[in-house]
Amino acid sequence: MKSRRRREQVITALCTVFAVVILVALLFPTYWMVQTSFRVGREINAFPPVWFPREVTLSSYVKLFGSPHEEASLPFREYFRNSFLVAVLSGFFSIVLGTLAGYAFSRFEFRGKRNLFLSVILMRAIPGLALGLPLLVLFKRVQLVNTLSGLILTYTMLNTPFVIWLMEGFFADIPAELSEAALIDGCSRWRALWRVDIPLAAPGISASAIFSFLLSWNEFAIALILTRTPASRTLPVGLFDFVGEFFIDWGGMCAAGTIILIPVVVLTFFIQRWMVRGLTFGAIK
Amino acid sequence: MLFRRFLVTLVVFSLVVLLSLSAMAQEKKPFEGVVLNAYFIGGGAYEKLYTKIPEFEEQTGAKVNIAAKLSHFELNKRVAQEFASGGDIDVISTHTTFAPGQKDFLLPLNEYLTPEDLKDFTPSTIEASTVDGKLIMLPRHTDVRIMYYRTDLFEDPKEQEAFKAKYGYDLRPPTNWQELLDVAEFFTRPPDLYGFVFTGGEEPLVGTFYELLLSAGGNFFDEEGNVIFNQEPGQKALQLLVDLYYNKKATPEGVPNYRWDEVAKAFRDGLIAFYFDWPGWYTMMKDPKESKVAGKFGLAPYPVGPAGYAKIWGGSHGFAVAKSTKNPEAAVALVKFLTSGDNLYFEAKEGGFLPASISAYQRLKEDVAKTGDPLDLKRLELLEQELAGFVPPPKIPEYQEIVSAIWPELQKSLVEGRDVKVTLDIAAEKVRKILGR
Amino acid sequence: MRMRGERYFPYVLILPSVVGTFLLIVFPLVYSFFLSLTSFHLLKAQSLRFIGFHNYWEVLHDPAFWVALKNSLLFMVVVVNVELVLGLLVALLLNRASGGQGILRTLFMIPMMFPPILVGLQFRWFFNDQFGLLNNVLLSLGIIDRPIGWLVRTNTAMPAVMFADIWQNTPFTAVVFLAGLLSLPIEPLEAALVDGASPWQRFRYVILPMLRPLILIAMTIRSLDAGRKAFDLIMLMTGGGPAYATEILGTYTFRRAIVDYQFAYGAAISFIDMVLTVGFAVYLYRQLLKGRV
Repeated sequence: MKSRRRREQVITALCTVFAVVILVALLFPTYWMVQTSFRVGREINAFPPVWFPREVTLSSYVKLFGSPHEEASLPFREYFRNSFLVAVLSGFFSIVLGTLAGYAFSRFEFRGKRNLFLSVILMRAIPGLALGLPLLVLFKRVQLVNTLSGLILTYTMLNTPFVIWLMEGFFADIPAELSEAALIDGCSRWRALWRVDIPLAAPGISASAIFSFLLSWNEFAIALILTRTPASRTLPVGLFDFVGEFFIDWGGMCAAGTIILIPVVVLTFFIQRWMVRGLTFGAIK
Repeated sequence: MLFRRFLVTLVVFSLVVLLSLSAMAQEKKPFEGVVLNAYFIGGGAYEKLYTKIPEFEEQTGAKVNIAAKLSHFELNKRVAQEFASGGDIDVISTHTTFAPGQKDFLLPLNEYLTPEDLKDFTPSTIEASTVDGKLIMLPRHTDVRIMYYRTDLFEDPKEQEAFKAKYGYDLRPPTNWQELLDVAEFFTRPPDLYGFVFTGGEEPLVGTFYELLLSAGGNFFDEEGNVIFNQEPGQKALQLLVDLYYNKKATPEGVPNYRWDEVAKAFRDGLIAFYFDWPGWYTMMKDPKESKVAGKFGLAPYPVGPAGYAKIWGGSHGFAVAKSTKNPEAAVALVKFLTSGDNLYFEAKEGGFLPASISAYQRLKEDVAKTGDPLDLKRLELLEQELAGFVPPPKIPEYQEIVSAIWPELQKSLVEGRDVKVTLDIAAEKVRKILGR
Repeated sequence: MRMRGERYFPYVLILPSVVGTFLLIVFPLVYSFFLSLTSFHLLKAQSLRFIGFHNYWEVLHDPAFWVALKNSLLFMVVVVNVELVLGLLVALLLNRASGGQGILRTLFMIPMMFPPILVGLQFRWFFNDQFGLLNNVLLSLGIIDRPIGWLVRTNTAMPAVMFADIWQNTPFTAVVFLAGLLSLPIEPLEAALVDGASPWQRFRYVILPMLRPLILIAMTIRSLDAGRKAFDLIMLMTGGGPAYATEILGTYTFRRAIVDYQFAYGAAISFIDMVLTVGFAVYLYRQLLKGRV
């Protein structure tokens, strides 16, 4: 018996060690990118590699936010602003649309309720370009190419089905009796929704909001096609342009990459509780 | 408790939305005067000319919005999308290689300019900028390549001895293709030094191939328009590149991903013994802050090909006006300003370009005669020789498509060693399909 | 107590979503199909001529299309399977690891929330032939004597891109399986222990079957995502090269529609891409329904 328990302990210890090793290996490329952004030019591509920076500098970051008429600088500020606005606004709108629709799906019987899951999956399945190409032509007719509004509209509709699905699950967890009670007390359906169900679903709304934000923040293919100039170009496309414009300014690229990372890391921290549920379309709670 | 949390969330959301909306509203400030949207080539020495733009803005009251500063590949793609979707585009950077493909969207400038305006431009550059009788761009500077080589390597007696012992003739910047291969092989000592480097993909690869094709006595098409680049001269040309990259491994491995910026940087970083490049990099090459080979390089003419001569592929950078511009006069004025004799002289002095302006070129020569830097003088001489005989790529609108179709095939030989005849036959077939022949 | 207009309440709730989806998703997709039946060329101003299925005929006879299709399929199959297996292994490890489950999980999830573009950037730099970390390390350890151009050799470019994707998405499968493992009922396992089953037997006959629905879900989601994420990744890492080695349907579409200006041709390719993907999605959906607990 004792040897068995000892063996269990050893295995657990080994597993922990392995887990840490894997974690380090997993986070290593990211660590490398982040610390390169703080490196002095000489050390960036030093051979043999310098594992910990000896000198730290913010010059890569300063160059990123430099003025437009300076040599070879990128309109990074505009890209950041664009990404932020688009992600926040499309997130907001998809929350509004999605929460309402999610509520409807969870509380009422619909024909085609089955198809909700299918349509959510289908949204994910559409290749970005398949949607981006026709939108380019269509948006041109209504002057929406190279505008933030165009992107916001598109992302909102791409995210909404997912939000509907998530919120449907969250609302399903809230007993219908609570809003029924409000109805009996004389509230209209809208009032009941607003006063009772939505506050109770607040955690779900927050989670959906964050998922939507991240989906828009990370999107590349459609932004690539629908945006032209810094007026509307977003960070992922800006990063892609980097590879052309800065040719081999690795410090700058890593700095841009690190900045793109920050909301991702911060928000991931907040939703890690709902991560599995969100990513598997609520199939696993 | 939950309700309070919900309230907080709601307030935060509203604040964020309000802030965002107000930020967006602030964007819509009214513009004073005319605004010209410009899409320019960016990077390195190209941007010095743009520092003159505030002068134009002050003189004319117009505002120039540089919507993009990109390498030409990215720029062309963006410009094409812009044209297709009817975006706000007034002035663009273009090139004699790309302009024929863009001609449907470019404003013919002969309607806005007099022969007086055009007097100062080198005739061959105007000729290259004219398609179907319409002048669709004003030339800025001309690109022809010359050979840069490391004087510290080539003039080192130890190296010379070793080379002579191995190959039986004196070490010198290569004068023909066999020497090119020998010297490249000799100086390849990875990972610190490689003999040669070239652009291994996309349009730069096709241009390099084109140049070699011409120097081997061949061409893309014959007089009747038949595809002939897969014949013997083409095979020799491609074989040279394959020998350099694949068989002798005399270039860095990343060459298929290298474009103009990367090859120049490789040489600047001291990794390469010799290579061919555009005059625009010259100033950066001489600057010790930017270049590890400052003061350690020399210039030489191209080696001749199997046909006994060296034909140089070249073209002129320039500016053009979009047909869809809402302010043609202002746009043309900007283009004229940017290509004025004074500004082209300024740019050439700062960046080492070959201005298309005759007066600017004269002034450059005078400057060099005064300072007497032998390298500068040699450079201008070499360039003058080449300007006389440079060859632009076929001025057909399908050129871009052709390039796109054949470079992956060329890469197959480079990267996998596929037989050059097979590759070129496949490429020729693709080109025939594109042209419908 | 029913109020007036209550009957319409649910429909009002879903109306904006339905209208928006129709306008911005359904309609453009249908329009794209019509575009693909024309000869629309981005630079030829008057090129919107109807030519029927000519583009599709061309696509089906285009060797580059078949290469791209093959690459897309290869990528998806390899990447999804590797991620499932690796994810399971990692989940089993993490399951046994002591303490800090929450922290471990959070840290794990970071790579999978990255924009794929960023992952592409990281690895483009990691695999770079001049100053990439991989070559640096191998060189200084003396394992190789000259840098290897991972992203420019046709036989290493695709594995490099797959590596990047696996790096990013194994955490996803791992987290999913971990959640499953943590919620497994104890009784069957204890019963197996009492019966004297070895660890391997316990795994093979008790744990694995119970994880089956999870495996299916993870596989479904990963398969659907693979193509889209791969586009971002490949665009940044190799652009589809060298010589079509990493060209997938998405990058080929982009090349033809935007770089070559042959918009209608690109629309045809993307339509075929979409039909295949959506068809596959529907197939997986049916499988999911069948196995749904």
